[in-house]
Amino acid sequence: MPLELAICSAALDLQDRGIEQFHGYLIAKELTETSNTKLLTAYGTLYRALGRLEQMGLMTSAWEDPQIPADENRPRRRLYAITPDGRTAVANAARESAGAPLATPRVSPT
Amino acid sequence: MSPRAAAAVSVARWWTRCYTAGLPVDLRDARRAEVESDLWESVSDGAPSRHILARLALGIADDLTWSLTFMDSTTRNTAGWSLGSLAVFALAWLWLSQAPQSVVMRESTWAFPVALINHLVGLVLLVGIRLPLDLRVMGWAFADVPVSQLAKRTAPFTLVGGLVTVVSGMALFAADPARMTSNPWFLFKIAALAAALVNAWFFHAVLARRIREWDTATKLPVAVQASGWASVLLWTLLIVAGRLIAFA
Repeated sequence: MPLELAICSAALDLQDRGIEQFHGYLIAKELTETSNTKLLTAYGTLYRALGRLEQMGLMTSAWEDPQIPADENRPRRRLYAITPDGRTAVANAARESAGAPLATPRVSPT
Repeated sequence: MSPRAAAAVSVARWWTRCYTAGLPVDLRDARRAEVESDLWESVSDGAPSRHILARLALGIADDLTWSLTFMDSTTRNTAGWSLGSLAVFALAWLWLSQAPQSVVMRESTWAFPVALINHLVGLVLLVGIRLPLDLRVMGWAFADVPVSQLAKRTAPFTLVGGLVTVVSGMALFAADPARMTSNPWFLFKIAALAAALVNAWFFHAVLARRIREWDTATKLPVAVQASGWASVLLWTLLIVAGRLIAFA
């Protein structure tokens, strides 16, 4: 599975557990749990993929309120969330792997 | 935080600063903050230092290609030239390590002395003409001359000097490759050359990006001064090691 799709899929898993927004480290941990590996995705690979997903409109991101990290004495987090298009992409990939028709918008014949 | 984790975090932070140095400010700051946050989470989560370093190492190719995608055209050109130079250097090293012994260089009366003279002339051009720039950068001389002017005017001569030195050096090497590769001073000289080239690249590609801020200043930023000192030191070591090759 391409990394971008794995990230979207992991984001959906997090969402199912009530975590709507996630930071890079959290999604990297989630990825290792689903892929059953010990090592987290490399920094460069992870953040490049997240940036690409955002460009494609499959993820959105926002920096958290600076007051929160200031209160917790830690660096500011960039929080990502999966978009409806991201959900569709995961669903399409699942259908594709199952051999079912994709849920893409159809152009009606004129 | 354990000393090992602290060291791993420092390396990751340093690398992030390096590959984001030539990027637009907003993108640069965002990536640095994001990696900083990730490092903090990793350490808080008890991630071993080897995992931090492995995540760093495995992502280097992605870091570089991402950086090349977003950097401005000037920086991209500089990076392209830098990587090109590195490739040439690597090929030259490969050639040196595989070069067969040259019969001409060993048996001709004139080939070796001519190559040696060219090597010295090239080195004098390269180091001698670069010296005023280094002295200016160190804050020792030419305080009234903008750094950019000195760099621009000395560059063609140092490039020609460098080319002559490398070509003649390869010819000298071909006279007896086996003896050279087992000579510790030759290896030291090559290491000094590599370090000097990295320093020159760092000056021109990273530090000089903000040259407008200190171009005419008398006292330059510490990193710029350090680069000047490193340049003088490394080229001097290279010359000394070059002379000692014959005595090893």
